[in-house]
Amino acid sequence: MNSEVLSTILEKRNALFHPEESLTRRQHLEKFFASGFKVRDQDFYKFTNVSRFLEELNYAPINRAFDLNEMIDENLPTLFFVDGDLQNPELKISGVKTSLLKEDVKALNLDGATHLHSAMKTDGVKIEIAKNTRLESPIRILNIFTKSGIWAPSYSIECHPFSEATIIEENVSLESSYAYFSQSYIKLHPTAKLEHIQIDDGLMDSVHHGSSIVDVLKDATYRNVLLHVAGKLNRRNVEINMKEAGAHGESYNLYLSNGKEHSDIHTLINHEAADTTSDQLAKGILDGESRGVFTGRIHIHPHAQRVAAGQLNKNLLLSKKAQMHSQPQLEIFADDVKCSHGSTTGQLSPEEVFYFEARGIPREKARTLLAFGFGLEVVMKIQNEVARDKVSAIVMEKLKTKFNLGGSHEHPDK
Amino acid sequence: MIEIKNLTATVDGNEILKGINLTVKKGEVHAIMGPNGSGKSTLSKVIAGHPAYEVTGGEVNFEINGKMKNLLELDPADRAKEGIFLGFQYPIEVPGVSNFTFLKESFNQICEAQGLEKMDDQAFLKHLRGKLKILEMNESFLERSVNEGFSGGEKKKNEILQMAILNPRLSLLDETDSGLDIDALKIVSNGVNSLKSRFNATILVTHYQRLLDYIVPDYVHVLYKGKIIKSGDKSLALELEEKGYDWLINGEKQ
Repeated sequence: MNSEVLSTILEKRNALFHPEESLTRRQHLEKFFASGFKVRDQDFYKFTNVSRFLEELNYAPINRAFDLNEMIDENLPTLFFVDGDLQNPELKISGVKTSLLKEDVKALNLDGATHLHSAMKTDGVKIEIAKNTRLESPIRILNIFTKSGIWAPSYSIECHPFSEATIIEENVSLESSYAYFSQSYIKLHPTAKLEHIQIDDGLMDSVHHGSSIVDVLKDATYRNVLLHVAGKLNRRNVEINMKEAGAHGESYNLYLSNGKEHSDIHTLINHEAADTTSDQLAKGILDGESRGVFTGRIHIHPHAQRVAAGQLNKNLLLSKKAQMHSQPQLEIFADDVKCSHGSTTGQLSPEEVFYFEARGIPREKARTLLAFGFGLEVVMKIQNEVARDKVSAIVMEKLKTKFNLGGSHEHPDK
Repeated sequence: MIEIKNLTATVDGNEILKGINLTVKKGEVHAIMGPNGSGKSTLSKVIAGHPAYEVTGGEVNFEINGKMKNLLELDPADRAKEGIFLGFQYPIEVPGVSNFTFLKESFNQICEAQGLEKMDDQAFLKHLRGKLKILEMNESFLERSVNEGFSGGEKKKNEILQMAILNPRLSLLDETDSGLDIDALKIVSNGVNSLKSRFNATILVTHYQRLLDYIVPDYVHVLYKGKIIKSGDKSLALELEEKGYDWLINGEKQ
């Protein structure tokens, strides 16, 4: 998807817009062409050349028939986006208000990426969880890609006091090659709780680039579980701001990469207020020639005393050619804080594999179980049972089918 | 049941086994003793198929469906499916995989290989409960990750629990007594004894005579520098306890 392709896509879309908007979008695209993915912080994309991945997308327009009814899961109220268009803006759930979002959300200032998003902007959605609403069932945002293209939704999520909810963001693609650029702004009012699960999954020929800003107010708890399951490039920027005392943020990541996939997670855990806490765990399982990048910045502001923040990054390399870059960055400007971090990268222990084999479990199955066991720590952070089971199944499926670990005992590979 | 002929094996290019000859029949218990570094553990790992050891010569034949077959051709998982069990000296800790999942996967693999029906979770749990009782293990062990945070004694009990579930024909117990206090030693020994039958055999690898008070061997072999230098009945173990290994080793040198 080079500049020519992007221009053509925009011209087609612009036919539908008011001339003024068309012009604005064209200007944003020009600015993007001028700057690329450069940002002021030169290390921001240090290990990830987004432009290259975008250009390498084997962009070929296709158009597949599909039936939305097949995507409906009775247990999961879902907001459906098909090729960027929101199909059902109003979900009927008591205590929840959803609506089509046209305006921009508060976004990270990423220069180029922000311009690209503004130029290519597609439908967004606003979700509001009313005061005292406690949802047992998760709400799902499902993006379905039937055509090749570039989709750039915005999400705005607002959780009012004493509410509790789980939101799952997911993608399904039908053999299309696409780029997905999302921007999210999430606000948790005092004492609200949100579990936010983001699953970047798709075909090999896809780029997922998501940015979110999360503001956590007094005594509220935000839990982010971010999964990179498939894609040529998966890049997520997550900024969680603990703005008032008692705010608690959790950032849990699991990236599973094989082949030539590239997975990059960039987080900022920002303690702006005293008496706030955070917990972070990022785990990677890398096979083939894949690359993983984890940049975890914890910033503790000068007056943010009695903060407790923990960060751990652990990686499992399953092949000799897989690579991992891990960069913890601690910026602590207060003196009375508890802050810990650690990073490890290793391989499956041959002794562990042999232990399983000595109990009759074939090598491939043993490796799959051990890799799954490694990733399970992240999956188990999910509190909502429906969401946890779903994520657990996705992780097992990917390890079984896409990693070079072999079959299951239901399908002996003999 | 198993015939080992002139077996030689190396690890990292060092020859550890230098011509082992050993035959074990159904219903027998053999103890392999010897000083540190004599190759005792290596022998049990080579039989189980540990990839770090390279067999450089000799044969290991194992009775499969009434016929003697070359065991060395099978990969470790297939050896286990044919009824070989290695009780580890240092059982491995596996975070993230529950003991229940591990036992169930293992049990179902063996069932499948032997043409038996797999059990569902409920039926398997029932089956497990009986075995847990023999080893005086609490059901909470099933939910915990395999061996993670287990005490030395708990790990060894867990090995024998696996043995009880898999019901092997040949058990190789590598230093099963190490790290056990006397109460745990009794429980583990009772577990092993309760699994003995005229259809299976056991090879105990041990430093000390102590274990042999509880699991009485039919034969005792002394391994030294990769060879069996003396075989006898259980009285040999008592003699070793009294005199140490030196008199045998010195005899070997002359």
